[in-house]
Amino acid sequence: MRFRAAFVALLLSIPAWPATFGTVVPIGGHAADIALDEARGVLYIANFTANRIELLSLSDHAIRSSMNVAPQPGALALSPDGQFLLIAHFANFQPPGTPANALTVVNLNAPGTRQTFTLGSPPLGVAFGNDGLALVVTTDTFLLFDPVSGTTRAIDTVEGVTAKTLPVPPVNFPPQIIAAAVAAAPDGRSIYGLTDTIRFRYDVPSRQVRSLGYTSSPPMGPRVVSVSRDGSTYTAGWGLFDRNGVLISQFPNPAGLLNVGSHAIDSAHGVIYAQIPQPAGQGAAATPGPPVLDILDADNLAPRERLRLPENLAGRSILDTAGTVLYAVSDSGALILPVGALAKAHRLAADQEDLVFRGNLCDRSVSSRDLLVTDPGGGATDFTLVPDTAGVNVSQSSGSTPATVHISVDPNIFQNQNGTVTALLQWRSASAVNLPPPVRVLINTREPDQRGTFVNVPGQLVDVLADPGRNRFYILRQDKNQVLVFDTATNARIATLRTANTPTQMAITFDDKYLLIGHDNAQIASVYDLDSLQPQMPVIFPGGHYPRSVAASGRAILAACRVAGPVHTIDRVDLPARTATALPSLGVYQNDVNISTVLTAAPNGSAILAAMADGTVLLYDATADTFTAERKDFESLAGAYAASSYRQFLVDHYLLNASLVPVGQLDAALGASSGFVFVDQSAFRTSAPSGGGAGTVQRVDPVNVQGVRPTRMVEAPLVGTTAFPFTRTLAALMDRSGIVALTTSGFTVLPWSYDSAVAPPQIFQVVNAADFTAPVAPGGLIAIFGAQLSPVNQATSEVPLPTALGESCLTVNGVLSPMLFLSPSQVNAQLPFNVDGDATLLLRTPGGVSDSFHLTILPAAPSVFRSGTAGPDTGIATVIRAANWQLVTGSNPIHPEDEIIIYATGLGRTSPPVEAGTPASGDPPSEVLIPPAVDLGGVGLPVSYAGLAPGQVGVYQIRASVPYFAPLGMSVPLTISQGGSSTTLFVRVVK
Amino acid sequence: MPAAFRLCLFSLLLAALCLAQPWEIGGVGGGGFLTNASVSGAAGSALAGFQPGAAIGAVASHNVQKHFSGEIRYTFLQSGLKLSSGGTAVNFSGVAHAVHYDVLLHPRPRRGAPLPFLALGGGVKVFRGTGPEASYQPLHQYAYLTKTQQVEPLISAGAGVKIPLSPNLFLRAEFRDYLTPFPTQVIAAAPGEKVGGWLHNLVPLVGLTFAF
Repeated sequence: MRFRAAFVALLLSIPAWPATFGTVVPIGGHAADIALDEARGVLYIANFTANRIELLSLSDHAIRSSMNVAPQPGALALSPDGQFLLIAHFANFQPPGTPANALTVVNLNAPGTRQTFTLGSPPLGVAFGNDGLALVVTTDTFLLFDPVSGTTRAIDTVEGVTAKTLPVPPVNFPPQIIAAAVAAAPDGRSIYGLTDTIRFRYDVPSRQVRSLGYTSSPPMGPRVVSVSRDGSTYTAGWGLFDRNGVLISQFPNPAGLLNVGSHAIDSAHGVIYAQIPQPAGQGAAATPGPPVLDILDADNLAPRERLRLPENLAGRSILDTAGTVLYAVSDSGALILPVGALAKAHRLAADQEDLVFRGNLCDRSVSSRDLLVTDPGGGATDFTLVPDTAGVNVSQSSGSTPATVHISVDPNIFQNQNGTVTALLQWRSASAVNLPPPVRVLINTREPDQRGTFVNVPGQLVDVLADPGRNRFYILRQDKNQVLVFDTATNARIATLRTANTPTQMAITFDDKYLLIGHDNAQIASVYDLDSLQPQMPVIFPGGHYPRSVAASGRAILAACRVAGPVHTIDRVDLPARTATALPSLGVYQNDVNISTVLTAAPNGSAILAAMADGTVLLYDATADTFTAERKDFESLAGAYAASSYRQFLVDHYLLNASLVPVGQLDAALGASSGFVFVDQSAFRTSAPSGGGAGTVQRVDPVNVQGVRPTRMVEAPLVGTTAFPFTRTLAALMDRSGIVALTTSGFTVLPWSYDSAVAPPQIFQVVNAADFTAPVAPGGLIAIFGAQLSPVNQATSEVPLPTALGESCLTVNGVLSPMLFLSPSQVNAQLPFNVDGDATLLLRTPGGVSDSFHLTILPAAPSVFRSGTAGPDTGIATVIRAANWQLVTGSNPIHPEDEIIIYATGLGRTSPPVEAGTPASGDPPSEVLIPPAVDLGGVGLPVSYAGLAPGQVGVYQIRASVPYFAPLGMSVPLTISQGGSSTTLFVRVVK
Repeated sequence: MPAAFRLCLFSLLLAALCLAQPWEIGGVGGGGFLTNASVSGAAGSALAGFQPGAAIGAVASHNVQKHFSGEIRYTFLQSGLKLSSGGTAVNFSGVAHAVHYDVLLHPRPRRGAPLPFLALGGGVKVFRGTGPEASYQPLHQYAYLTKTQQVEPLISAGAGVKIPLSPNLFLRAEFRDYLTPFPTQVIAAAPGEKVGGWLHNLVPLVGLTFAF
């Protein structure tokens, strides 16, 4: 133990991520801008402080020469034909110095030919359009400059931009001095720019400038503009805008530093490369964090990957035409990032975000999971995985990719938790350049009284909503900008919808047609058609309005907005027009709400409740179409919020009447308020204990303000944070089959009658799961029919299959059986491979233990699955023709000389053996020990393979060839015999 | 199959008898139209058959005597398979080959004038389904359109006219009805269903023959 502690300490003492991505090229000064000349193989770097243009060779990344130019080259642009390099000199010295603001044109086709033109105002940025003219932005004018004739023409004026004067105090960098950025779209048809006070778009064909004043807090840093290929979107500072200037998404929690960071849009690959520094911490000064390059989705800034940089980016980034190398201004001068060769860089990835260890009523022994660690580029990359929690053990924690790491957990160490403990596996590597997220290890322990079945959903889940008209529920995954759509019958995910950045809350329109999604980092609300699950035009909010909470009544759709301005507001949404407008007032009250405001609508559309962390509540009455009540009876509020169709409301632990007057308080001793849902005139609520462990679910009688039968859950529900104190973590399913709660591992499904007495399970019949006949064999898939087999429906896609599913577990002769599916009347499972002969089967559920069910397990009992589907036809035997890889049916008959593949179960033990619940490997294939015989109408078929189907659990594959002389007919018997057992099905055979 | 074999043998023998007589060879082209067969059973009823399609062929004939001649023919027919019921139709590509010997009766033979004739003969017809097989075929509750081939005996009956264009060149216009049993392997009734009967393939043709 002492050795282990010393080893961990040693690991923690070494640098975790010494490797970085990219090559730094120091220039001996501060770079202000770059221009890429691929034809000449040169990157021009404006050395602002040394009054030079450095020429960096693209081939060897060395600075081969320099051009001495007029003072303070602050911006560069290369003409589309590559003939001219235009240099803007920001030399705005205050008296007694002499301002030397100017433009220099360098004719690159005639070395040594350059002209300098004096400007009256400091130039802030330059960019060429596809017409060969350069837009020059000064502090007071938009100029068009013709590099051929040297003529300048003013096309518009600039208002409200004040230039800094030189000299500036020390520790100021070019982006802070010039404080402007201009960039052209790769197609040259539009140019976008950003200063301290305006954003603008210059349309090259029409030569029109559209300028937009703005205020921003924090400042729009980094002071960089990058434009998509067709100019339809651009990033400026920490925002992603469309061509009209609508903020589509913004980088979360920016520090707003002008001189740290950069971004570049790669339209061909649909990504944005960005370094947007965040503040060091709440209340701390805004200082840059470790330099990290994020690779993000170009449409909604969803993160894909993070790369460690050798130093901070500090200005413009340019991607080469092929999209393979990113050149960026950096602290030392330039940073060259071979993003096209990222696959060759050392990186790390795990095949699972979460590793789940479920509490098992049948087994308290150490359980383990495998984690596959790879380098996405296929290389060998060193890694170390360090658990942060005692009781989680990693074997072969260090190694080189690819590697399978075994993580084991002794449930006895966690047995007093009675809930789910989250541990993290932290990565360390000497050579990897990326920063993979830590792997979550979720260890659940439960007692028989804990109710519910949790389904693992990785990520940060922030909202759950049941569809009132469909058998679906929706969960918002904030860290990936996704709405996850689940089917209530199977609790399986059926769709994933993309949102804008940092989704915060969902709402369904009163007609049940659309799903609206509010965001914390986008000034739009995403809209989805709920029938087709296709995205619709989003709702555009006023500039600076971030719709964090949305609710739809029968009359109005309202959104509580975080506003980049003096007051936060509630806006009214015009869904047909896809716009929103801040309400002039909230009835008789000012439209000035707390930033934390959340909204929720009554199911019958009669009202919308607004709750705020400062204790204020507001009520919108749909009949009056205005806000009719506002109260502040509490010092603070947090946790659950809900509205009923019977004019009752809940916030935190408090029940409010139709006038929002508190009428009672629910028991707060159960823990922090998490979820609450009204169902007609009753309700459910969940609470999370402060010290961890199991949460509590409780029925509530809102009329009598009384909670009844508190019941421990399998794990704790989620609670709010300082930034988002309110939580909606509970939803009642439309068909009243159960309730869904967001909990530690994902979500937990509770049957409607979770708190009623549960009868012990009764087993009536055990059959094979292929054709539902009695013979079963070791390793075969079985179906158990009975009553009270499970309180919930639950299917799993976890691999290896869990030995406890839902609230049930199964043993055969005392050996745990992996389970696939549970329902009250049926359980599907796999028999262990090491059990045969007379056996006893026991099922444990929260209701108790079943009576012993005796069955005989044969050495082999082949049964062909009847799970095939063709068009609307189901129940087809899973016999495949290799000729077209389709099921054999009357319209796809077997032909002589065909090869057929039969999928079956019950073919018994294999060599090499495979652990029950584990998918078979194809290399080497696991062949059955007892070879089967396949007979078609009395003619034996040569069998080329009989064994487990690679990648599947409990499913066997038989490959057989049909001879030329096979008997023909509409219904020819196909018989598989093995070890004294046989099964027959009938197939059509034609010439 | 034995019947088809006997018919072929008879045709060849008859042709052999005529070896010493003058010959005509030529080609014909036209189209084919087929009757449908009813599929009936527990699932309900449907119509099964073949789609109309182009037909091309070759003919070799010789004059036995003034009022009779004999000819052996090969005809290729586009015969896509089809199945329809209640507004739903399924098609499946297919072809057919017909080989037969016909005896031609010339009622009013006059040199240099159009020569009408009646034809009667027999042979075999090969039906082939050539479409892509799939696990699911609509209307499969009635019948399966199958990628296979089937040989059926054929009775050929028809009439036409030969119009001399020159002493050695004739324009032929004729009409044939190829009567075969319904090919129940190519269009196979689903279990519990029945399909059968006779299939008429009505084939109007025109062509040119060269006499020597």
